[in-house]
Amino acid sequence: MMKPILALGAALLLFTASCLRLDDNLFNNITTDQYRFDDTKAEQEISLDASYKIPDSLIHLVPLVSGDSGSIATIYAEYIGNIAQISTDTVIVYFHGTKGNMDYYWNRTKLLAHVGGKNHFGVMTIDYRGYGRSEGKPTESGMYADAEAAFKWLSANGLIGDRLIVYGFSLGSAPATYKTANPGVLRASKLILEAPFASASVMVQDAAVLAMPPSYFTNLQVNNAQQIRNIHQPFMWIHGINDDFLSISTHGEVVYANHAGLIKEAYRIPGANHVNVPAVWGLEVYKAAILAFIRG
Amino acid sequence: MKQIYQCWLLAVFLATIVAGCAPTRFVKPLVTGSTAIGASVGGPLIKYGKATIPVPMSSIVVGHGFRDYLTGFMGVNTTSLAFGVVQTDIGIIRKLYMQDGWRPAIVLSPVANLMFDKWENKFSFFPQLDGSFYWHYLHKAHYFYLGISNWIDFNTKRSQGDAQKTHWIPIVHVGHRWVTPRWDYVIECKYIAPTHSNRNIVVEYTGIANRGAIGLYFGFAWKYAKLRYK
Repeated sequence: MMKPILALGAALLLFTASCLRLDDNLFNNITTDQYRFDDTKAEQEISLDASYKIPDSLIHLVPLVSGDSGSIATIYAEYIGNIAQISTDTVIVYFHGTKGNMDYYWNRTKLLAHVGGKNHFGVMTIDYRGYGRSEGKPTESGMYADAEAAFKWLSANGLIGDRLIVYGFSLGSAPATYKTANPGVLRASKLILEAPFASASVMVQDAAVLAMPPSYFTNLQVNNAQQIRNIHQPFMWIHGINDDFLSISTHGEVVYANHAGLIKEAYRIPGANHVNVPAVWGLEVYKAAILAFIRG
Repeated sequence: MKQIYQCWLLAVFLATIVAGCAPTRFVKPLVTGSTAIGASVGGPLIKYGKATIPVPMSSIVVGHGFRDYLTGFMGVNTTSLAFGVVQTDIGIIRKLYMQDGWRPAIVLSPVANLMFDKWENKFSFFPQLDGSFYWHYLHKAHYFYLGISNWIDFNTKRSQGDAQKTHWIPIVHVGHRWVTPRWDYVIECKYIAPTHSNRNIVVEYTGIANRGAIGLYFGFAWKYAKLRYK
């Protein structure tokens, strides 16, 4: 009789003491001691020729202090452009994906710095806490706080929301959508999402087939499909039709359909997967579409 | 390309719990009055880096023979438990036909899968109906078996409010059980959800023609009380 009671007690103890969650698995961060920009050995998903080189004088590594409900971290951002002109420039803030750190997205940020011509727009990207040289451990709330830290720095340098374009790729669609829906110091004028995910729960349900509550797996509250219902600014959505990581039908289409605004554009790119949309679409076509959306 | 998202594989470890957490609990009913306690590890095969591995799910089960043809059982997924989710499967296995030469014995097993999490107190219920054949061979207690499990999902909505289109998940299983007076050892292979595409999701399952997931499981059981071979 004692053995079943002991087994039941052990099971209850395991249940009540259980603390394993999958929240950390949202992040695939890689730390670094130094950002290498054009000298980076980090795998790039798109290739750029020498004409895309950015003058060193226009590349700025910016430390930011980011606060997340009492948890303060120094994070790092890259600003490509003339800081003195932020007060008059339009700035694209690019929130990168889950992989690596800013070095892994160097070519992508350089590409955006060539939309409309070389350094036509300012481009800023950040390493969320725990990524690259940024201190701390990545968390959902920390990611939003880190985005706000970038907006505060831009605001302090003269940017106003009317000239702020927010661009989120993959994981970056979470801070991009959340901060556009719940603005802090700056209210973005337009939102661009490339290969966004609908929510962590959709990721889980896609894999599990059965309809199970996301709380079985994660406490993450990331829900772009819900947040975008509060966004009325113009919205541009880009998604590879062959995205084999975040399905265009269960993720991207849902986000696009839920956008509450009147102005929205959809670009479903044939042949493109999760990471190679600009390359498959064509760099010139990609840049032209981004430019037209920003100017439109 | 997916290797860059390798850490999301862990997320799917949990996502695969429901239908692929354990081998078939009991194939052949226990002898009347006997009880068996068992454990198992294994799960769907996934690509992890350059390797293909079974998801290391673990579970325990207890069964009792009410009649020679009827056994009741209850299993608990211990991996789920560590994540704050009680996942149990409670069912019976009923022998319908005895083995007659090469004609296999036939068993049917209705199961209730119940889940509850401590985080948001969400409850789920998935009924399941299994049917299996088994063959003793060479006059031994060991036997081969093969059959099909059928999971039913009564949910009509998914997380974003869109329709839950999948209401039936079939799982084909084939295995072998080595039987000794006190211990049983089992190896089982499952083909989970062969009716469903395994493309465009966050994990690379090992399936057939991009459909479903192959699972591999190992288990053992300790038996006590009235023991005799049937």
